[in-house]
Amino acid sequence: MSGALVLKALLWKELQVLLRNRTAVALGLALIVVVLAAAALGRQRSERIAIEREGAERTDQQVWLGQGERNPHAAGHFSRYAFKSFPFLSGFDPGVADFAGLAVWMEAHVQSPAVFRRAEDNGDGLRMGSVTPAWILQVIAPLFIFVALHATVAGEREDGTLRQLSATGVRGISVICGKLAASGIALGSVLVPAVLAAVLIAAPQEAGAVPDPWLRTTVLVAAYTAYFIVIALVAIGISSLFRQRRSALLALVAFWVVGTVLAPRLGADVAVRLFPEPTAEAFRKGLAEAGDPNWNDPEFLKQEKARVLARYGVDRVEALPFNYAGLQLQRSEERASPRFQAFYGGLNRRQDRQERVLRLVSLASPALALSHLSAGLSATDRLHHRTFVDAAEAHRRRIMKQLNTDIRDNAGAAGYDYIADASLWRTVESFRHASPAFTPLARHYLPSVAVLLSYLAAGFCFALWAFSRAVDRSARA
Amino acid sequence: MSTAAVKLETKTFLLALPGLLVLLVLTALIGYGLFTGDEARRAVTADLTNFESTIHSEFKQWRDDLEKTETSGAVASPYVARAMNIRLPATLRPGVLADFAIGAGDMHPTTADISPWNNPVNLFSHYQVQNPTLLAIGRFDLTFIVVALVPLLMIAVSFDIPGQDRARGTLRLVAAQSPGLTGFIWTRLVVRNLAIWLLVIGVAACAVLANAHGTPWPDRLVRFLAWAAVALLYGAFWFGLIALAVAFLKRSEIVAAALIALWSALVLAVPALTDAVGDAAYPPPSRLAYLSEMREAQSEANREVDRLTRGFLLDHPELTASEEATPKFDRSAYLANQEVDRRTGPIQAAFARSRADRRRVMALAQYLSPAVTAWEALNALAGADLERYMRFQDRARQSLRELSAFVGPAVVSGQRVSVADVDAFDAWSFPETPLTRVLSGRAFPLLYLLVAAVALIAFARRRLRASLELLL
Repeated sequence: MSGALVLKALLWKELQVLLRNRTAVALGLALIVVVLAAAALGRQRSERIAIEREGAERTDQQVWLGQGERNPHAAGHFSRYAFKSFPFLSGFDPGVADFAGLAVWMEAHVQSPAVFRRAEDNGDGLRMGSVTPAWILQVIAPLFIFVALHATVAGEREDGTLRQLSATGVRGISVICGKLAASGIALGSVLVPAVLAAVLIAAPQEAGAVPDPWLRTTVLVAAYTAYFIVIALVAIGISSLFRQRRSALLALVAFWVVGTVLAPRLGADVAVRLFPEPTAEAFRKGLAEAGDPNWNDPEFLKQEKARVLARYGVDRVEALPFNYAGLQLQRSEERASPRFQAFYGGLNRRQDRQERVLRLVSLASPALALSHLSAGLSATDRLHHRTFVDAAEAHRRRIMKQLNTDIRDNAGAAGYDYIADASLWRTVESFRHASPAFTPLARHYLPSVAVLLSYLAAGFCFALWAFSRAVDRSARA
Repeated sequence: MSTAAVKLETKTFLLALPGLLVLLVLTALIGYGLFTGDEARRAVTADLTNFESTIHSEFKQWRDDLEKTETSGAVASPYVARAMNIRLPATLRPGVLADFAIGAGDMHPTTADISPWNNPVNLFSHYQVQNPTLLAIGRFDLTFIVVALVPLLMIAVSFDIPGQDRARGTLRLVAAQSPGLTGFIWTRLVVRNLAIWLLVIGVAACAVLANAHGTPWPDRLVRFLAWAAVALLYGAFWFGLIALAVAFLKRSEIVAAALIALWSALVLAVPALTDAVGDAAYPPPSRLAYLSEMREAQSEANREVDRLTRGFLLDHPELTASEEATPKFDRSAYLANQEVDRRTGPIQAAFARSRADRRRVMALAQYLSPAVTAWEALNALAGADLERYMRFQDRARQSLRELSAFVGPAVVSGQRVSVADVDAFDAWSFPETPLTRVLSGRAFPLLYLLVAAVALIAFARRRLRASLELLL
């Protein structure tokens, strides 16, 4: 019997078995409905957030322009806010969007952290899951696959049909491919459309853009497809290890619990213990120290003044051709910038190390690897949040430079009594930020891609080995 | 219960490799969860102590300066001992059983700088610095273990009773030899699940004594007894559910699948759906709109400081404005914050209403999922529930208003406050909810859980007492 005919026969038989599993069929249909409903909810939420943000941006600009006449430095302390946009796939996978701040105050002298986390207004939930397409596909879909496939080999061993199959002389790899292909067709006809439909429904037409939506969407669908194949291979492999359906199901559920419930939480906890975060008080103190290098350093102020006076050949600041206070204010910003960079750099490095722990833990949990990749492709992970925060800081420095330069050039002898008006406020541009392209950031996601690909390769080898072992044992029994 | 069945279970499960493995893993997980909770509690306590000592030391310096200006009689600089510079620390100490649950503690502030320079919008600052990736995943504490993991272990040790014996054909032998098959099955279920819960309560009880760290242990013991009662009630519910599945379904595989599906529904799906429904039906007001309102109020107040000063003095006819004792900037900052408080009051109230509405949705969810009931009750008993953190924020805002009302006349009229008045001013206090109120507030859901557990157990026992043919 030719290999192709064998494969076709196996495929057809496996498909029939799968389709006769009414529980699995019902679960599959329920999964599609739930994923699509979650996508619709996600889109509605994204649109609501976008409207809120646009309103806040408009108000911020109106308030800024309408602040009346005042000293530019006072305006710098009032300043403006930078608001984060929610990328178009945030309805599919909100990532950490609810747990990272929405806005940054671009105030003089201080690089403020992002504030207003949406999760603080949510309920007091278990934080075990959320009704988003990404969570359902990462956590619930594997359970569906395990229920559908737990008996694929164990059932045959229990019923005694595996011996008959092995007696026909068919090769183990052909059987694996047949089972995998059948699972792929049956489950893929449920899951892949669910992923595609979820992505399309959850993406609102007018939302924060990314420059490469098609690349991100394609890689996202590929990542989820690879994940489902990994899960199917694990199901077939574990099913091959056991003689009874119930033992196979128990083992698969244990794998699912460890991979989706236990490992992520334990991993997050270990990460915090190994690399603890600063307390609120420590953060405040560190930020205050970073932000105040100038005014508490009389020696520096004296030297700076002497240098400037010498440069312009005068003996007092009133004789300078510009307002010295404006220059001082700008120098203080420039002196503080590297200190803020070092302070936040230390915090970011610590958080990077925490996430490296999670990457290690993802070796035991393909779901964790996929969640990292999925949030990255949806532009809703911490890395993309950081690009927003960094862009806000760059804009803050531009605003302060504009205001300080205006004081330096126009305040003259008026000093802090100098006032400016809306003609200056209008020159300050509003903050604009779009998520960066994925390609320059891709190297950050290579470990997760490597984990998924390793699971694919290892999963196939494991399924093949386990099935061969099962055939061997059933032949000897 | 049959003594022989107990001995059999002890020998074949509790002292055998699978049983020992389950109990060992559980002990390790509980120990780690308690260790994590204790570490988090100590970190918070150290942080609060630092915060309080920094502010107290600055306040002492300020008070000393104020005393000097009063006793010396000389005209002091307007920048010395300004009323606007009074600062008081508001802190939320960890709950009595804080090592049992981190709960809402990783997301919400536990300190506030009560100072007239602050307004209700920016009162809580610089606490939103945690890694959002880890926040999204959640923490591993004892409450999570009890609510999410222990039911899974109960399912794992119970699902094949008596399916395994039925499949091997030994159930008929037992039925032939034993006076009551029901008692045999029941004993095995009870022994295995009781072992799990005795371990949970036992290790937790040891932690009550070992992790006291200065908290009076009678307080901890009383709270712990309530905590243990709720945990056992939750365990009883799952025991009833497992017993019912074992009694009605013959094949172990079907029992396992059904119980896992129920666990997924009750622990994962229902809480997630409830959150989604609550969010869709009662979305919280926009934080960005709250921010916008604050900014508009500040901007308007800055432009209209003279008008606001006149308005304030009209309300306080005993005062007259002076420029001598306080800088003018203090007055404009104070009045701006008063405007912010006035204008953002309705939004604050809207947040509170939305929270109350969402709580009603969650309250209903408790009747759909015992995991929600247990989670809420266990967190509340540990002092880690969201309501406690919200009460702290409300109390801190109230304290800020009280301090603002205290210093306002002095700031706007350009005077100083007196040492006597400052000493008479009430410092921060945060009354904890008594244990009886914590429990009475959850009486109906807990009663419902009790009734559900009893009903499930009763049905299961009745089914197990059914005719032998049905069991075999």
